[in-house]
Amino acid sequence: MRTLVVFAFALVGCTPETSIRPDTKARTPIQAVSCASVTPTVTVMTFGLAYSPDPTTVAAGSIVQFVMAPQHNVTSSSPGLAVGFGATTCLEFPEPGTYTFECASHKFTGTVIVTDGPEVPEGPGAKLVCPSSGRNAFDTYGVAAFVAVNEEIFTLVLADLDANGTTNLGDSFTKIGTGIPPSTSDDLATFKGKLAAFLVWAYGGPASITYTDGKPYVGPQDMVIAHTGLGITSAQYDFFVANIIVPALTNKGVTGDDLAMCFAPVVTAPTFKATMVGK
Amino acid sequence: MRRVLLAGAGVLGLAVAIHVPGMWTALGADAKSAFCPFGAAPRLATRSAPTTPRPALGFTLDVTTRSEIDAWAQARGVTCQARRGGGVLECEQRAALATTTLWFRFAGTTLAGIQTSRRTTADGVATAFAETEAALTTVLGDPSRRQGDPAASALARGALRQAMVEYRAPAYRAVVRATNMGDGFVLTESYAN
Repeated sequence: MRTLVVFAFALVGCTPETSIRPDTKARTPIQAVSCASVTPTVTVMTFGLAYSPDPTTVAAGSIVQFVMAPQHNVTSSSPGLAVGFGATTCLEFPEPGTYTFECASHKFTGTVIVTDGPEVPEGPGAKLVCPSSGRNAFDTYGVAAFVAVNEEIFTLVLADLDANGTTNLGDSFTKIGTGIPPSTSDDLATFKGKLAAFLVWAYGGPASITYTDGKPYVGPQDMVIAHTGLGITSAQYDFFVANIIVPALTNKGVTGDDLAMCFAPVVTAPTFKATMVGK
Repeated sequence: MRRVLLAGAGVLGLAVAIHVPGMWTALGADAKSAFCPFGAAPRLATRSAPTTPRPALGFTLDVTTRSEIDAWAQARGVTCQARRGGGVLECEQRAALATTTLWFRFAGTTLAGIQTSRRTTADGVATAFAETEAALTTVLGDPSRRQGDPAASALARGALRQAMVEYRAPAYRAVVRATNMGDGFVLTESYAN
């Protein structure tokens, strides 16, 4: 399993000081394991006064590697969840739950969400290699670029709606927040956060992010549910990709070769398109 | 008097647009003769329109009426359905090597915008792009923006390879894109006020 080292500084604001609630449930304790003998699912680091990524979502039994700067540590009421100042420690999370922790010196907090389902699958673009870097899209362009692309998508959508009304885009965006059909129940901010999380995960980033609104979003999402009732046609999908997705990527600096090699295979995959068209 | 001038400008704009080479190619080789009230007349190059022309696939924004679009569709055997409470007419035209979806948007009974998505081959999309660009340039002058290489060989180099041209004029914007969709090629056009 690949180690993800993510500097999510653009997504993580200063976390307000909060007290950590005592964990009253009896759980199998978190265990420290030798980092030399395991492959961590995620690596949590510190960047400024924040943990990153935060929150971190892993399946039960996963290993999370904590790499602390000299001035930061991890303390928690959850037994076994502790990392010393400047230490690198690998911890196994055997049971599902939400584990919160904080830096004893600076009081910023972090969260590890342990799910009881299967391990979060790798994004479909995680193994695609960008010619410009030899790495996947997320590792090549970074979280700030993904935020910029996500925002650009909405800028272009709003411009299209302004110029053309619902001519082509239909209800996909104008019914945001109405709940009719149910796939439109998310408000705009949630919709943005979810799309950002999906893009980050799909292209090789972490399975969860904290978006610019300070809220956590999970990357793997059911695209069929998200598009059911919208009646998107194949022609609309083509128009959207050509007029919104490609311009959003190129406007934010993605080069032609990278576009073709490490972005396009996800967007143009018939199986992916089938999750959105005709639902 | 103003109404007469506007009507005159509209008719002239429509005539110019109809006679722009390539405009009709995307819709079928015999489209011009099917709609053009002047037959295969030469382009009106010697007269200047009193207002900025707003060509859109051979129609003219703010001039062409819904009944004219209906007549065009009927003459061409194009299947159309009203959408968005009747404010949008969605049409599909099938040809041997291309399927085109057209969305006509109306303000009342007048054409306010067109968007199209046309699936075709690499050569087909490159040819259509070049013809459309040439046609729009003839009417509107050089594009305000151009990106990418529209040659079929360049588009075929990889999925999501794209070429685009954009034309801007007062109360008018046209954007044409040729895109490699991985499983085919798409020409999209957008004409709006």
